[in-house]
Amino acid sequence: MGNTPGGLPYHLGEPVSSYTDIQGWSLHAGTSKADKSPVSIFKYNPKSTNLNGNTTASAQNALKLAKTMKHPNVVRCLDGIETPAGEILIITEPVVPLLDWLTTTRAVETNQDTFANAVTLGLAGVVRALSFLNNDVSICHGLFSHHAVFVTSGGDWKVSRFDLAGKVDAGFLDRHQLLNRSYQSPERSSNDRAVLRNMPLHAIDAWSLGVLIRTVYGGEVVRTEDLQNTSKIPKGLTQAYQKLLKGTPEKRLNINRLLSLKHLQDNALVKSMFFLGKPLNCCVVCARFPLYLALSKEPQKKKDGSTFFTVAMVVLGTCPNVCFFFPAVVLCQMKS
Amino acid sequence: MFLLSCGRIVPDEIMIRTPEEKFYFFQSLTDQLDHFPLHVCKYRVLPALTSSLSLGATSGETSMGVAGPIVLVPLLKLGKLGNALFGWPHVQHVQHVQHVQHTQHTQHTTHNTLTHTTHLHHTHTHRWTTSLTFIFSSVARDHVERRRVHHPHYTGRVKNV
Repeated sequence: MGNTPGGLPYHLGEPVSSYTDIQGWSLHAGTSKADKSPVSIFKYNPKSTNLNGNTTASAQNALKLAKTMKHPNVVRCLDGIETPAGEILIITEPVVPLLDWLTTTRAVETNQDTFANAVTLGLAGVVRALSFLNNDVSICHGLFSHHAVFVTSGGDWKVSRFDLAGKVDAGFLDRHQLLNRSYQSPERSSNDRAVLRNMPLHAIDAWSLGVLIRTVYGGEVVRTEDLQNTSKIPKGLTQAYQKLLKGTPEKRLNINRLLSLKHLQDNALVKSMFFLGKPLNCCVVCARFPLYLALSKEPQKKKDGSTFFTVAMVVLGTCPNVCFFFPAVVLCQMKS
Repeated sequence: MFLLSCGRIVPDEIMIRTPEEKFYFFQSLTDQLDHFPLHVCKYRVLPALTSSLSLGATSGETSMGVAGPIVLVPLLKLGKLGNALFGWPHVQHVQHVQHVQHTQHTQHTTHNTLTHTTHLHHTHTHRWTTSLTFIFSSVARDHVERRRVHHPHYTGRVKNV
């Protein structure tokens, strides 16, 4: 176990064999020098032979967003640095790649219902994260695949790898084919720039989420025809799955509609873990100086059209670490 | 607006729930644990239960604002998982805790920790909650340390130690 480049206070451990040189990134085990606590280290190698063209700008974008993005289902970044040699390191909470976790959990959990519950909890978390990106922050992830989903020791699925995250601009259009071919929507495969520029933002990640659902339940997608096989997908998810994979981008389901999907939300495990976890309605109020407003209950609509939040919690923080939170009992009224 | 506390982490959902909601949550948790994956029991439910017991247990209430025994029932159920949850027989740890208790409370003789905890009296709530917190926190800590030695990266549950 060696030192991390750039003098960060972490030991760089062995790479995870299943996550080596994925679009230039490798996942390493690591430990903190201070308290020996385990961490994960994402390491970007600009000299990777597996890269098509210059992806340094994407990797820098990944570092920037990993440090600033705060959400219960986004991999928590502890530190990050870009070395003079062009290597980029992102230190995060300890996580494992999704496919590794699926293999291990499938072997450990002999009860099929329990395993299905664990997957449902994971998918519900991923849906929260993508809905947050697409609708609350108004950016697309762009590189969403099983390589962008990681699992914590508690079984939370979290999103990372924000290489292409942002608005659909010239930079995105130049690099959007960095995504695995099996996760590319038809307009991305054909590199139809006009369609990509004008399509709704949520349609980009909606297709990728559909492919991820197919991958989780039915194994990796090799051919496009595999997507039409819905036999292994739970019945409660089938309709949403088909709407996520609509050929026309405008008709694709917005991921925020899945937040109220019975299969994902009406589950005892999901409800319990969201109860124990971070607030459901946590949102960034002010992006310049992050001010989080965490609402304990769903807003209540009043007859005059106003919305009441009965209990709320305000979290005040600076990037990259949230420093203070102020749990507060407040009565908010918002005119819609 | 009342300023209640401040810290370095984003607060958990449970902290902003009413005592009634927490009561029903812990009450329903016991039945639901059978359908929860082991890693969730170990890394999410167990820390939440032990931390709720470790603070404020002297008043007969947990730090979550619900009565201690409500939290104890799911905790005992987790204890039953024993070997499946932690990878080695649970009996050894019960015996170890019996010894510790014997030295701490010499006038109170115990033969079987788990048998006695099923007959909880309010006067003994603090003693038992403290003992059980000790059981699970020590088991969890030892287990985490073993995991770090053998699996420096993967902290999730594996089949055999």
